[in-house]
Amino acid sequence: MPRLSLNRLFSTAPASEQAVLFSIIAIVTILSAVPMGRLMLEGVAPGGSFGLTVAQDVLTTRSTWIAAWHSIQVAVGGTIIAVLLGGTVALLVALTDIRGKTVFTFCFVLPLMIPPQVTALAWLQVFGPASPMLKSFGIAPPLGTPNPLHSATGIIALLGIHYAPLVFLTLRAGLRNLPFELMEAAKASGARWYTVLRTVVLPLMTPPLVAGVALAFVSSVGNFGIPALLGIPARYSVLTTLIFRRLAGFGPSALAEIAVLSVLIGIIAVSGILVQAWMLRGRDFRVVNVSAKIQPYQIGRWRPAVETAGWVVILGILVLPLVALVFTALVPAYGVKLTFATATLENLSYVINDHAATKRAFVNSFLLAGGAAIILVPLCVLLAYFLVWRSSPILRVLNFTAELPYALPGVVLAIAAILIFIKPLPFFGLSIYNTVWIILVAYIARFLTLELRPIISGFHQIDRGLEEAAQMSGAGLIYRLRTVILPLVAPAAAAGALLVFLTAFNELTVSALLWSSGAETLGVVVFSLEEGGFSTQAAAVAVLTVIVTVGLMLLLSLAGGRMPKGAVPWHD
Amino acid sequence: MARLSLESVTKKFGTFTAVDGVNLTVEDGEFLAVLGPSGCGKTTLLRLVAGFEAVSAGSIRLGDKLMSDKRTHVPTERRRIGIVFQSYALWPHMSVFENVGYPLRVAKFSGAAYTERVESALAMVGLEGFGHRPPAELSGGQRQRVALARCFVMEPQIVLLDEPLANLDVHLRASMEEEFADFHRRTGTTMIYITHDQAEAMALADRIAVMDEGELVQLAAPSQLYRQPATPMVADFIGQGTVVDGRVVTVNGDGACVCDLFGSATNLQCPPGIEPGAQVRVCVRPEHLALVGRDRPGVPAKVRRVTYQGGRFLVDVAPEGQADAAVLLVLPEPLELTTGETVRLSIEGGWVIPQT
Ligand SMILES: Nc1ncnc2c1ncn2[C@@H]1O[C@H](COP(=O)(O)OP(=O)(O)O)[C@@H](O)[C@H]1O
Ligand SMILES: [Mg+2]
Repeated sequence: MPRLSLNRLFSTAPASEQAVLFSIIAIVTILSAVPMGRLMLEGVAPGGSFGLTVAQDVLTTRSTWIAAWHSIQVAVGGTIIAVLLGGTVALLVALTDIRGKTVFTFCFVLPLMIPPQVTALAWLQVFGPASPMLKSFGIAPPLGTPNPLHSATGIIALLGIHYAPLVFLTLRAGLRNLPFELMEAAKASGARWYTVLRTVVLPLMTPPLVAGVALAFVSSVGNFGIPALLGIPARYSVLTTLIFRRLAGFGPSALAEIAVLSVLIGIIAVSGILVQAWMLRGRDFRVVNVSAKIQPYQIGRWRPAVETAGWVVILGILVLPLVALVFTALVPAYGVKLTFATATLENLSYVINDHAATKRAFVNSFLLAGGAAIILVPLCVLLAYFLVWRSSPILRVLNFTAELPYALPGVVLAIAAILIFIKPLPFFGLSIYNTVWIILVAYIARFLTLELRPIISGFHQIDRGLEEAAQMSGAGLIYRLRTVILPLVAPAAAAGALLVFLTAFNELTVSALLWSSGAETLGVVVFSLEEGGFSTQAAAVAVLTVIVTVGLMLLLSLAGGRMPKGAVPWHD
Repeated sequence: MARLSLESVTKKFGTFTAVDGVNLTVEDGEFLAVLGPSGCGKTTLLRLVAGFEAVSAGSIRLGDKLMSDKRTHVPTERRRIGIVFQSYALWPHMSVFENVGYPLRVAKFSGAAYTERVESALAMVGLEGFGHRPPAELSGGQRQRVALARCFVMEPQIVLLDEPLANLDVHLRASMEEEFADFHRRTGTTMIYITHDQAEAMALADRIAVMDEGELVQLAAPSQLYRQPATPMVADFIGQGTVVDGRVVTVNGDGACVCDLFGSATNLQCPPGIEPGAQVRVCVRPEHLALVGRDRPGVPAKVRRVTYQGGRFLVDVAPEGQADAAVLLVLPEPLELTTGETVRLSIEGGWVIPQT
């Protein structure tokens, strides 16, 4: 065979991988370390000149400490409920032979994906004296009775229900990797199920359980939608709502003060994470040799009872509030009974066709969520590539900072974004404050981790040899990315993008602080309508977002089989 | 095709030295096997040559071009080195044809030139007509051939194979071994073949480089490796060698000597530089050993274990006085020996391992 020369390829310089790596490092730094640094700078140097007087003022104000105390109180309470509920359900789903696990899991996780402001709105319809559902059944309390949810207890209960799936998901992921021999060995030693649970399962499940606790706590501290809808009318303020009201009331002039509050909420969240690290210190939880996966316990004659109990829980935490929400969306005015005569699609038609802000919000949220999801794909694929396959040491540190905008409460990032963008950017003279673009930038920073995680797990599941074979063939980085790497991680990237879309589409905490007229998001619209007393219209918008959410989740579930393991959180 | 030379190549991962000062030259067109126990640094050595890892010290040259040293690192994609991966590394989203054609696509080949070359590469490994299939529909052996064709199509300067048969069953191995030998004969490509299986290395290679704990311990033709192992490790690793202690009595020149082994004087082969009186280690192979009757001179030994190997027995005996030395014999069927029985062992040869 004649030896044609292939030298022209092998003598050309490859695309500079260093340049790509440095760009990624720069972008991730700008999206994570810069905002966090900017916020902390404002805390100690308000308005650019060093001084601790503002910090001192804020930290000696009574309202600050009341709000901080409330934040901790509802977060701890919510976490306890979330752990009890989510933990029990995770054990039952993972360790017993109950039927219909897929559907049950989907339903149990759904409340987490429904935005908190919608959850709050729906639950308000379950209890209030003017609740169309209660009225329809003739069991509404007399008018004038306060809605019991407008209280700390209400906030705690809803935070618990909202974040129970979070504990469920972390614990179940851990239980999946629990080698079933360990349980068999305990059973063979004569241990009954409760002894196995106490002596084997729970001790080994400490890390996911503690991680779930920390996640639920940090999320509860940062939650805005629930305390906003339940707490503000009752004058019960937590840090997130305090920040919101300061910004709404005083505008940018109060920024220095607000920055201090944001740092405070950040510190509370970080302490949650530190407590987690401290609890797991110096203990070895590694399970050796994960071979056979868990074999579920046969619970025999208990099975129907356990299954029924499970579905009663779903009925209570998911179906009941959603039905109440639909009732409200279908009546002509708040407080009216729903009958065949009164039922109307007017609210839905109004928010879809006539309410300009809602129409804009649908477009905005769609484009923001889609834009963030798509822009994050190339960024996260490259980032994951260097993290997993190149194990770049700088990026490992950076990976930690990249988690911050998502791990810390949304208000922290939002306030940092305001601080950075309130003046036109130096060099560019570009101003994106009070436009939809500031929300886009914030979303990209906040949801980077959400998109990155499935892609990282995708890379872990691909044989590195596939890339090396392309290298051997003479392909440079860009060529390899296009022809080999991207096609291989595409399912993981799709899962990540859909998760980001789902989360961003329903987002409120960040946009509540960053929106401006014309740049409303769906979350903001639901919140504003309810605050303005337009409950039926708010419910209509909420019903629409629930439909979109469930639709997207079903889409992810259907595609779940083609995604790398673990990419779709609730899918097996 | 080119000559590959490694000079004091060292690779450290943190404080751990995976490859330690390896000097090695692979001649143009040679088939070299790198042999060693698992974890001895074979794969790391191969990845250094391929350019997937940078060297910590030393240098690697291909032809007259410097590929790696402390300052230089030519990236893999510019080395033009073919690699056959243990996992085959075929792209699941491409057909067999696209897999094989990939290096050509990278080099911007298209049209008839592209098609012709891919087809001739497929023909070369006997996979005509398989081009449209996805790799998932091929057997292990066929995938291995696709990987070979993909290397071949890029006309590599050298081909590296990392335990390419480890994932195949025993029957396929023999035929694939044949395939590699054939490939080498026809293309004359320089090949480096990594394996932990000494039989595979012996069957295929012109020379074998034995590695142990990151170091190159011996580089020699298969028969020399078998007859004259350089260290106890090599003696032990290759061909069921037994290493026993002995003392040199006389040295006869031209590589022969007499040693005291278990109290009896034995004629052995030895390397130069061995002095009478020296305490040495001796490699004794099964063919050097026989059982003798009580009337003949021999070393009394106790049978420790008898293992049937189909048509023959592997017998493990412990000579009297050196109860911890395990000496292995291969004896034909029928055989009537029981564990614990005492036999007489005659030693009719062996190799004095050079002292270091
Ligand atoms: N990237 C790496 N980082 C740290 N240690 C490594 C790395 N690659 C290989 N090693 C270590 O180097 C040693 C040699 O590995 P390897 O070359 O794969 O051996 P072999 O292929 O001979 O089985 C092993 O102890 C392995 O753990
Ligand atoms: Mg290896």
